[in-house]
Amino acid sequence: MSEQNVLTNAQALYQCLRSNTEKQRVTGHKWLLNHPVNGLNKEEMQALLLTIGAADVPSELQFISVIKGRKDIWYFDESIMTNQYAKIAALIEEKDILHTIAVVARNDSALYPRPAEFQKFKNPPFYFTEDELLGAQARFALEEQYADIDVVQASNGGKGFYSKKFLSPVYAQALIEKYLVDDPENP
Amino acid sequence: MTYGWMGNLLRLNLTDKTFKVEPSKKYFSYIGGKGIANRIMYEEVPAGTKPEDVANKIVFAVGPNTASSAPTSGRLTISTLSPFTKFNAIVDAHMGGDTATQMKCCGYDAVIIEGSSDTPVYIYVEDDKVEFRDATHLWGTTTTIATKEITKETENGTNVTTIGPAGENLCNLSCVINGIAHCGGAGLGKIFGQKKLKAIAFNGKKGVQLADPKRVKELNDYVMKDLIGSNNNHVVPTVPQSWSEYDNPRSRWTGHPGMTWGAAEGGPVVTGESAPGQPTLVGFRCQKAVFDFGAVAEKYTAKMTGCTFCPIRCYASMAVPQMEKKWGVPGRHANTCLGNRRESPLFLTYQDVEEEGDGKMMAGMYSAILDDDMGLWDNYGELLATLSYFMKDDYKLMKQILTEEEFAAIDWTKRETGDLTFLNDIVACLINPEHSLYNLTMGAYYVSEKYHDILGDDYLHSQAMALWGPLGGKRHHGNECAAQVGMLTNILYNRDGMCHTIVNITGSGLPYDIQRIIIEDLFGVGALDKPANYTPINEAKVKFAKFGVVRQVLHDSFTLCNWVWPMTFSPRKERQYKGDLSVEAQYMSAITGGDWTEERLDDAAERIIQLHRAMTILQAGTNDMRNEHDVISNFIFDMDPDKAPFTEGTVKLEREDWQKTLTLFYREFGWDEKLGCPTRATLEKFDLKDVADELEAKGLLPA
Repeated sequence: MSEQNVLTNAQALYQCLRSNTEKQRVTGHKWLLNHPVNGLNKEEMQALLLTIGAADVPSELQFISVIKGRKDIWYFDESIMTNQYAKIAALIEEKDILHTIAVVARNDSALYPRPAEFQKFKNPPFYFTEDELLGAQARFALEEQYADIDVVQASNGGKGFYSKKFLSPVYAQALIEKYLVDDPENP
Repeated sequence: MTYGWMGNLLRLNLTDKTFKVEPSKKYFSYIGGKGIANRIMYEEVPAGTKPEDVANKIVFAVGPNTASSAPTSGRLTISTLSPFTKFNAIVDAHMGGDTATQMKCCGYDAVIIEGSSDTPVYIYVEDDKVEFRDATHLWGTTTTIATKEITKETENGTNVTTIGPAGENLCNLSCVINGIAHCGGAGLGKIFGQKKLKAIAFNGKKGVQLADPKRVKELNDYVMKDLIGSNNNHVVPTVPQSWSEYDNPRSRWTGHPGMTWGAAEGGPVVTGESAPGQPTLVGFRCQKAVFDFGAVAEKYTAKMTGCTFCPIRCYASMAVPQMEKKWGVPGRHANTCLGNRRESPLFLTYQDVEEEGDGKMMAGMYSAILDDDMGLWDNYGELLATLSYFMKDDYKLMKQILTEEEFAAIDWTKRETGDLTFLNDIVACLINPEHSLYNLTMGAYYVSEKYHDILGDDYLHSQAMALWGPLGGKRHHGNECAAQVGMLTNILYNRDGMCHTIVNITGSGLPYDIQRIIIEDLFGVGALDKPANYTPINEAKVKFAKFGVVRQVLHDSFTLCNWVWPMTFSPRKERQYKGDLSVEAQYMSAITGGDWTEERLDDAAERIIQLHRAMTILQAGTNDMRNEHDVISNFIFDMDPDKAPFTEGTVKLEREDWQKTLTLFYREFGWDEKLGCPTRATLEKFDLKDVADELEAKGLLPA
């Protein structure tokens, strides 16, 4: 490599994070410490990562954003990935299906508003199976932290998770029927 | 030089097989499309004419924007008298495909078809050349065969708009079809058939002159990069994507990483992410086969197709060789939306061929091929609803309207086993004037009239039929779409409303609060309710509804596709998802060289609504629109019996609130608040004094 092509540590880290972001993925702090860029040791890598979001962030890393997950800290390039998507990508990386469904169901119930359809979780980027979703439905009832999560079913059998904090059962039922039955019948 | 408009209209007389080219300039103030077509119908078809009369006419019309290169500018409006709804008043068909472009490039803003032929003919128009050709050899053929034959008999590149046997046999619910897939409904097939007109074919080689081509190009780039989403201008994708803040499984922005056009020539084509700002990827956003049929359709999607100048491509071109093997029909077809369903939900089960769910998809495609070939029009699901209604309760009503022999001759068990040839049997009866089932193609209003002794009032007012009103128009984005707002967009017309301005907003996929902020900024606080949770009527909602129909009429006149426009929202976060409602006026100025503002163009569109309302009154012979025309079906008030209006989870309307809604709506249009008819002052404000004079002469102006 010629001298002019040698990357600074910040440039090398940015390349790594950008590359993963382009693949629609977030990059974990733990993984980065185990795979330092530019031959840095763990401590040097840690120091470099601590500059992200700080006042003295290297200009190369100014578009790198951070999500604090339950199991790790996650980095992504906010110039090509939204914070909302990064949160979902981090949930997928952490592989906690109950937490993932609950976060999405609460968000969809509060924001749109709508139940989060089972089909949504079968599609990318989640790719959960029907069995996994049915298993999650059963386990939600047993865990206090998910007491607000419930399931509604439309007349065509389609289901959705919703949060009782944000939608009444009557409203959730009407919305799942609207989105899975009424709207498709009146396209 | 005339910019935008071609400056001519073509008058075709089927009685004496003559044609005349006349200047079209006097109609420019009606914009084009619906505006021109309605005005010509007003001037040339006297009130009281019946659809079947020789005096009825068919007017094809385009506008200054048609074929200008603007995204979705390939639309055409065709006006005539309705054969299928109460009053037989003015109706429009809005057709896509290539006809609009070919017709305009022949040099015409409008084509008027008048008179009636004694023998079957088709008309071939190639720029200035016009030929009335014998169509005896085509009479009785399917739309596919007629299209292929006429294409062979004419110059390369000809677009054919034709009827099938349903139109020839004068079914009220019949249509014209161009390009073997693009339908113009409104009962036009019957009017063609009545005039013994099999088809009209255009082959245009002229160009549209633009006042400022550079500006038009700039606007195209702006729309494609910053404003346009997918079909119905849905501006968020169905699944979370890295560039997007939001997602919505009901969105028509269906393409995503991993999803393909599975049957594409040369191998699957990945639709991928198509973030805003990448015009060349817009066509990958709408994977309508999957949207309409489900995931099973992905591997059978050859490509997405659509109308001339449309980047959205909402027509799913399917290649299903199994169809040919199993059912002996062509395994290729293209259609969209309800066109991909037709009468297939009549089946009680489906025969899967290779995997779970493909039987239902094939039934939909089979039904589409059959109906399109016959030129049978489903009227936004009305034909299906009527057939289902008569088949319920073990065919109780069907047994009452068919003779014993007719009923016994149909193998109803095919319906239970999913044998698709059941559809052949049913459709053959539906389009046979000698068969009692033919009566079910009259349109719901006439079905009710004929069979009222066994149907009572329930049929017309039932939720199963889902008509917007007993006039016979199907509810089309009515109360289920923004409650009173959607309902108001239905009642102006003499058919289903086909207004997409409002549903493009509520179905955009954006969170409610983002929608609300933008809509309230435009129309006032309280304009947009939460989905399935609405409030009593207010003035902001009425203004929102008026905007809905004004822009629809503008698009049908200009022409643009109201299934995509207006650009109320944008997919871009940096715009706070706000679109640009001035784009149509900017195009109008750039194309015609005039000085058009958003307000001026909306006024021109409203003028067309005023004319349309007056024409409806003249044809109905009453100006009591509130009680004779704008009456909505009982189910809209009586649905969800366990829920009260204005409570969470229902869109049922409340009767008193609806009457107040009408009053406010009439006021917004400057109509008599009791009757719902235009006043002289309003008509004169829109330079429609001659219309006011005629209404007055007939005692139809309010006191």
